Amino acid sequence: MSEAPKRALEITGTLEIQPTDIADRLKKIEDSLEATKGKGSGKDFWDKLQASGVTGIFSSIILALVGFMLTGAISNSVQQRQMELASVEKMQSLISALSNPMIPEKDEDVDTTTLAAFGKPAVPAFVTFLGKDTPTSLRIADKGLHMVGSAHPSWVCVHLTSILRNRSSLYSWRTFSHTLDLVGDINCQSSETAVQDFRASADTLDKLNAFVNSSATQKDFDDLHAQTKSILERLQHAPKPSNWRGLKRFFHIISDDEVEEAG
Amino acid sequence: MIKYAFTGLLLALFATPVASALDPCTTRSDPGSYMIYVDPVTLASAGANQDTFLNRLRFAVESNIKELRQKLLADRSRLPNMPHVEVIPCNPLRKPQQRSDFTKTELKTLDQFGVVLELWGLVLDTNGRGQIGYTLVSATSQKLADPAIYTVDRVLGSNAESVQKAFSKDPVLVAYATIAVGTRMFQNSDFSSASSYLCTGAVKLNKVVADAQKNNIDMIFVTEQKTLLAATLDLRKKALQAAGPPPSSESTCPVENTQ
Repeated sequence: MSEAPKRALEITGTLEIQPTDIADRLKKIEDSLEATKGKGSGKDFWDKLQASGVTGIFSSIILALVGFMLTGAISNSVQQRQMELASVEKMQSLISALSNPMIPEKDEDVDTTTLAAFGKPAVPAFVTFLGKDTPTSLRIADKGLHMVGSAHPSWVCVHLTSILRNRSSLYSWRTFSHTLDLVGDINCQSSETAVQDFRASADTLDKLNAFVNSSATQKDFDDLHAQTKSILERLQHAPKPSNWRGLKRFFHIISDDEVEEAG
Repeated sequence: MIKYAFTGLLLALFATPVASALDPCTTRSDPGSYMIYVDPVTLASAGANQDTFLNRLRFAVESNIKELRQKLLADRSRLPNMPHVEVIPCNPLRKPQQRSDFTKTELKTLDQFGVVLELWGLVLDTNGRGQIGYTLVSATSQKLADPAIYTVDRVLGSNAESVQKAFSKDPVLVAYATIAVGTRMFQNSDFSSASSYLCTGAVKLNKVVADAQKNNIDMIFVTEQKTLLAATLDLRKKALQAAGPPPSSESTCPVENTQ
């Protein structure tokens, strides 16, 4: 085997080495690393907290609490609704018996008291009786609303105010008369403006007859007019809630319960 | 919710007991009419037919107020708005036994539903003795007396026929019915008619008082009737003043001279 002839290779060029530049760049990298190291050692509270995993536990606790509260609220709401439905079923027979205009007085008394024992859910039923224009239904409404309203005026007063503001010929003048009596007896301070408005709206017999469903006579008008004046005076002179109670009332209002001050 | 129900229960259990009320009289309502309620009678004999007796009593009351109705009818030709007087027999369960059964609430309800007079409480024993009660609703609301509720002891007989016969002419009922109607007319600002009816009622009541004095009947009753008579005449004066100048013949009531 013959060997290839050797050829000489000539390389030309310059090799420029700048040791200072490399040193600078190296220094910068080292500084940067140092800075990062220094920063790591000066962690704030939150960084430490995050690093330690406490935030995870904390957020889990918060989540559990919110979940518990929400479940409780929903459960309460469902239970309340169930109880209301159960109350309606139980109240049904009582309301049916009381709807008989010739119900014997003894039965009327027992049934009214029993219905009043249901408390708030019974109020709409009694308000319906107040709207009927028979001696028996008015008596039942008076008795029942007195019973409930004496302990919890706010449950009743809001309905009474609504009746006093009604101008749709839905009610008789007798219903208005009994409503005014209840407002005075329960001391519905929140109804005062409604009573004033009612007085202004019914300051003549013709005006009154324009929004009642059975014509009132001059005597009926005179009686109602005098009664409105008397109830208004009674409300104005009744003891007003103290500042503390006013504050409590404020908070009760925003928690869905309007508190009245019974006189 | 549980709290509400519990509060309600406590409330119902411990609430101040309301005075017992009377059973309702009727479902009938007659706007614009003046009503006279007639309550059932309690007879000593258990076998008595209450319904028949109540009907007889209603007829007796009707015959007593016949004259009053005729006057109203005659006046209606002049004043078309003159009211009708209706006699209504009440539900058998309604049995007032004493004055206190007519509470303020009961009287207010009767007044609001157009009742001017209620006849009640015939409790008859085996000898036919009993007590008749008259509740003048309009006179009470006008404060002619507080309350204008009167009772009279009567011997009416022991059966339905004798009671009807004895009751067919009751001067007390006639006087009271006329005063009750006149009072309600005054309350409804019909002053001219009111003065006329109040005067007629006063004349009839004056006769009742005179007869009672003559027969030496219960002095308490006589005193009460004299007070009612004076109040009736006062109301008539007010009616005359409110009605304006009357014809001279109507300005004085014959009874005023005797007072």
